[in-house]
Amino acid sequence: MDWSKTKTIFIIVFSILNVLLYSLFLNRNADIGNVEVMGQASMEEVLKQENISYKLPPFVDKEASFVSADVVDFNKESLKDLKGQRTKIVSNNLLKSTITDKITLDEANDDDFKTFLSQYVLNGKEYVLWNVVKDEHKAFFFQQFDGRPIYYSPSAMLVITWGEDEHIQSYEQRMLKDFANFNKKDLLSPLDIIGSLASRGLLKQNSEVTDVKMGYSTLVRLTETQVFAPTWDVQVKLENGEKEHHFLSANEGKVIEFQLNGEDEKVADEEQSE
Amino acid sequence: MRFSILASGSTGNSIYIENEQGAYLVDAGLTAKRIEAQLAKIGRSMKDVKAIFVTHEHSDHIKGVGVLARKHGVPIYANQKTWQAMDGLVGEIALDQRYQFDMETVQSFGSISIESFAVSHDSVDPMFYVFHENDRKLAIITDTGYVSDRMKGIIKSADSFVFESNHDVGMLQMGRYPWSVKRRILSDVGHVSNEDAAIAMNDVIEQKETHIYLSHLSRDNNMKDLARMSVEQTLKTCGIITGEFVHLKDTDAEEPTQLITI
Repeated sequence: MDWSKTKTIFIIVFSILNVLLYSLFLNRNADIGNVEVMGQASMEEVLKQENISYKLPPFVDKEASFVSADVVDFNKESLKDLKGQRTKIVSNNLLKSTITDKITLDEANDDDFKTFLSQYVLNGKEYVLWNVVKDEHKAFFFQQFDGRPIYYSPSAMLVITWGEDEHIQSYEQRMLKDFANFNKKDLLSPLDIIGSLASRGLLKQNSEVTDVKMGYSTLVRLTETQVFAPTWDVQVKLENGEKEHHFLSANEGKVIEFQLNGEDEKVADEEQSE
Repeated sequence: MRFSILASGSTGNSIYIENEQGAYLVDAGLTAKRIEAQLAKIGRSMKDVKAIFVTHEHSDHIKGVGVLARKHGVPIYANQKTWQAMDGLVGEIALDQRYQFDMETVQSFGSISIESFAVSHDSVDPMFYVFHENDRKLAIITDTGYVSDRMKGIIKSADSFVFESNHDVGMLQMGRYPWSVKRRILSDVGHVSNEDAAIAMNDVIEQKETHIYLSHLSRDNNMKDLARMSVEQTLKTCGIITGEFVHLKDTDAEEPTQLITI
């Protein structure tokens, strides 16, 4: 056997193989790069195809903390300054109040109930109007921390009810206290969030994303403390004029679905005050 | 006896223990270079380390074992099944550096006695260690799906605990892990949650100054503050107020804890 020729053939074959492998490596890297560009482009494409427009808030936080807070146990002493109402404490942390003053819905509803809240509700300024359900004669409010609402937490909600005569009848309140920030983390941007919703097909055709706001949603309930995670609220106006809200974890982009389920209310050890 | 938790979490675990006669590591789950760097942060080096005690063969506990053994000639201790499982994962370790530490046995190193005990984890033969010196006791227990009465009996009344507080069950269940991984973590051979850790702590804490290092926290399903709040509040429901004689301490995946004397 001619070893010299064999050696040369081996060298040539392995050189060609190396060139081939190197070109495959380069192509693979180029493909990876293209996927990222395609990702951004495909999102814009989907939004365009579905005729979905969006407005981004001018200033957004790039990072936010988790928040812990404790549930308030109401007591007679804390309610002594509430006037024009009869109050009842249920299971320590639910305040049920019957309004004895004559207040019309129009009066109360002025400026999103702000005057009513400050005059008749304990720490009323911490609550912000979320929704008015006219058929049920109810208005729903969320407690805020640092100007950010705590979405759908039964422990941080206020519900005002009025009667057929359009006079305020009562309200039910739960409240959190001793808020503390911890574990600041980077947030996904509103654009990332809109892209995430679009890629999951959760944004309807011909809709408009009107705003993206920051709030909190319940992450964990400990025995005393509740922990809340930063949450984006994506507000969408549909083609028929209706509004939709999509809630997503601001750190992970996970879609959060809330359910307003009435907690069992124990009427044992209740207290009454005027 | 003094100790520092060099790193804790699923990215790597190692605990440094020393007395006047020498120093020891429990696990070397970081690269050798990182362990040396962590030791330097507490003003120590590998030259004083007389042995490394391996708990089980998962990579976050043995990543640096092979290199440290070869580079520093340090003896490695593990039980027989763990040795078999480690072969091929840690590279060549000279025969005269391979020592056997059987389950449920005690070995003495000068004035320190080290007791091994079984835990429930998805590795071949996992075990952890209790360090005794005079009347002082350091108990290390992480990587266990639950804390049995037998484990509690062994770690009971330690002065310091390195105690697993891996995850918040709610966060894990709602999180992004695949269901198979969630099921594994929550199982009897997975990891201990914040609440379960606190319930177990209640059974092993004595009425004396006790330091508990919350360890092996999940990066995705836990947070230091959350673990502390959760353990604090669960202990409170059991009648133990932290800060009185029980002190909860954080551990970190990147930074070693301060070297403390017990």
